Amino acid sequence: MSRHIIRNVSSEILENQELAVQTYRLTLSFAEDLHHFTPGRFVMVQASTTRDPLLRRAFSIHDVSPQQLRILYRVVGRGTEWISRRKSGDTLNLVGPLGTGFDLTSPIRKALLIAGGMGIAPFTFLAKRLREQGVEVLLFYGARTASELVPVDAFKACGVSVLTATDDGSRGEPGTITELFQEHFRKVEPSEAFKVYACGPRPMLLEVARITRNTGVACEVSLESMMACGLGTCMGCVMETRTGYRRVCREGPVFDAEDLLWNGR
Amino acid sequence: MGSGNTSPDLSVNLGGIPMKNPVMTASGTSGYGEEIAEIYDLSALGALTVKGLSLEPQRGNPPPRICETPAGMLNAIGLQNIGVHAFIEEKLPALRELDVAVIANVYGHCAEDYAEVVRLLTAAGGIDGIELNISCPNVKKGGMVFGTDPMATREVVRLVRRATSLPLLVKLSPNVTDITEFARIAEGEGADALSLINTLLGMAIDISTRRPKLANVMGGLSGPAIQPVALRMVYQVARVVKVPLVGMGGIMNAADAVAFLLAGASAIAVGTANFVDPPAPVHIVQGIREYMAAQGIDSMENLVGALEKDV
Ligand SMILES: Cc1cc2nc3c(=O)[nH]c(=O)nc-3n(C[C@H](O)[C@H](O)[C@H](O)COP(=O)(O)OP(=O)(O)OC[C@H]3O[C@@H](n4cnc5c(N)ncnc54)[C@H](O)[C@@H]3O)c2cc1C
Ligand SMILES: Cc1cc2nc3c(=O)[nH]c(=O)nc-3n(C[C@H](O)[C@H](O)[C@H](O)COP(=O)(O)O)c2cc1C
Ligand code: FES
Repeated sequence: MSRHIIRNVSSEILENQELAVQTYRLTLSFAEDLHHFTPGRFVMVQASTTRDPLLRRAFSIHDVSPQQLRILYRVVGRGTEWISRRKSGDTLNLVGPLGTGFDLTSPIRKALLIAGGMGIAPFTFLAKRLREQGVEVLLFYGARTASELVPVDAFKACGVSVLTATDDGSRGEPGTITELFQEHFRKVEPSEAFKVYACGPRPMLLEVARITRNTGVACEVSLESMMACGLGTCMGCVMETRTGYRRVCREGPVFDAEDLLWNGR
Repeated sequence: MGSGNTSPDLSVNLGGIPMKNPVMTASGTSGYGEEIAEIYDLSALGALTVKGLSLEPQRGNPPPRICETPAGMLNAIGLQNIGVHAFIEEKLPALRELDVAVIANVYGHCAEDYAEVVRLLTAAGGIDGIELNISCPNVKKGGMVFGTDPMATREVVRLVRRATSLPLLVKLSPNVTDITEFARIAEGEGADALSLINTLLGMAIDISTRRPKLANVMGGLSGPAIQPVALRMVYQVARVVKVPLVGMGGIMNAADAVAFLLAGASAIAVGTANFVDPPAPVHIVQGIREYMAAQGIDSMENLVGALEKDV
């Protein structure tokens, strides 16, 4: 396996744009190529200039173009609020790329992506890579309400079909995204070489794991966890798996759903 | 004033461990060095202290194990580690190759466990020093129990001292009324150096769920929040023992580090700062050098404990 290269860089903000209610897309400029930035990996971002709040915040790689990195984030607390106030031209320090991303090596013809809320963040990049490989991609995208949905133009532009659900029915199907997913999942021919990728709140991931369990369909889920280092040194972020506690920041954040034991909080 | 053109000498001898500079990583904040090596060259450090090792592998505590607190964090990792045997076989060979002193942090359920782990590490070779963790607040048996009971401290240090001729550091708990009592005991039983402080026992509550934020309920507080407590303890202990001290607790940059050196620490360890700013130790080495040059201090001897008496 090739040695990871972890960068610790201050990079210039090109844009920090509000896309939906309290949801921003941050575009950062890089001098070097972003070869190691692959779908499902993440970065640890500076979230203050003082000692409080202390720790960096973890964000998925939303999209990468030569010499640009994008992060899609929702303001939920002090750190993300601070980041949302950064302006273009400001610099922001980040450490990454970190963790183990989605597996793109298994030969598949079709991929079902299930995103709940901010779980959409890593899928823009994943969908692009899958489409480059000629994989047919279907995105299931759910949120509580229409105003929380971010535009899905980037998906449509690369030929991804998008199905939407909101809890309050303000856009797409009323109900949860897992209900919509389950309906389609039943209809897919088991013979088709396909795979499921999910990212979102834990209850949603658990439900997707339950639906795909024992069907012979591979399912990868991207987890969140409280993180201090993001590097694999503090052992703070672990998730219980069949082989013991594994670090979400190192062996994850993407795991094979079958390997996870979900009894932890 | 020192001569302007010679650069200050940062080397220190920590109770028999020669180090090229006084900056170490604190145990549990840099794993076994592998991940940090992806970011910077470990030979920049004075010493690397590895995660606490026990006789058998430890699963650790259930998650959530960490949470952020004002200017700090709580952790209840529960000493998850691969065990001393796997460490010697899988991790030590790479560490031996490094141009940096390696200190093995050790933890046991009973005094005999500590001694056994230390014997195994000593026999394995390639380790420059042993640090006894008698101060971990996150494990039910062992851990802090040793470091908060004078009799238990005496027993474990005595037993381990007989088990090794390697330089022996004893890491003290801040969760006591008078830390100097424990410092004296460890020195009296043959410790070559003392490390202080380990984390302070703390707690955080999520009021919306009415639950403790850590599955273990309580955890160890680290980071800038504990720095004044750590500094005070280093100062107190430096005045009552002769062995060198490793100061730690909330050190984020060179200015923080220098304060600990002035208070009497011969070396300092960087813990939580490794998470916030991974190359922090490298910057701290550089910053100490700059401070010494600017103050005309040519060697560590003239910096350690050089606190002015009156305010
Ligand atoms: C691998 C990974 C990838 C992530 N990717 C994204 C992303 O692409 N976009 C995005 O908007 N968010 C993402 N997150 C979540 C993001 O890290 C948190 O929302 C952020 O740390 C909150 O910081 P804050 O200071 O604003 O909130 P705080 O004030 O620290 O907390 C506010 C709320 O957020 C929760 N929270 C805090 N830290 C985390 C965390 N590490 N994971 C989950 N919830 C947390 C707290 O429990 C609390 O309810 C990701 C998390 C991980 C672990
Ligand atoms: C996540 C974490 C894990 C730790 N693990 C250990 C350990 O295994 N053994 C030990 O002696 N101290 C351990 N410590 C304590 C640190 O080595 C250090 O004493 C303490 O954190 C204070 O320094 P700081 O404020 O710079 O982090 C740990 C601390 C943290 C934050
Ligand atoms: S966040 Fe530190 S090990 Fe994962």
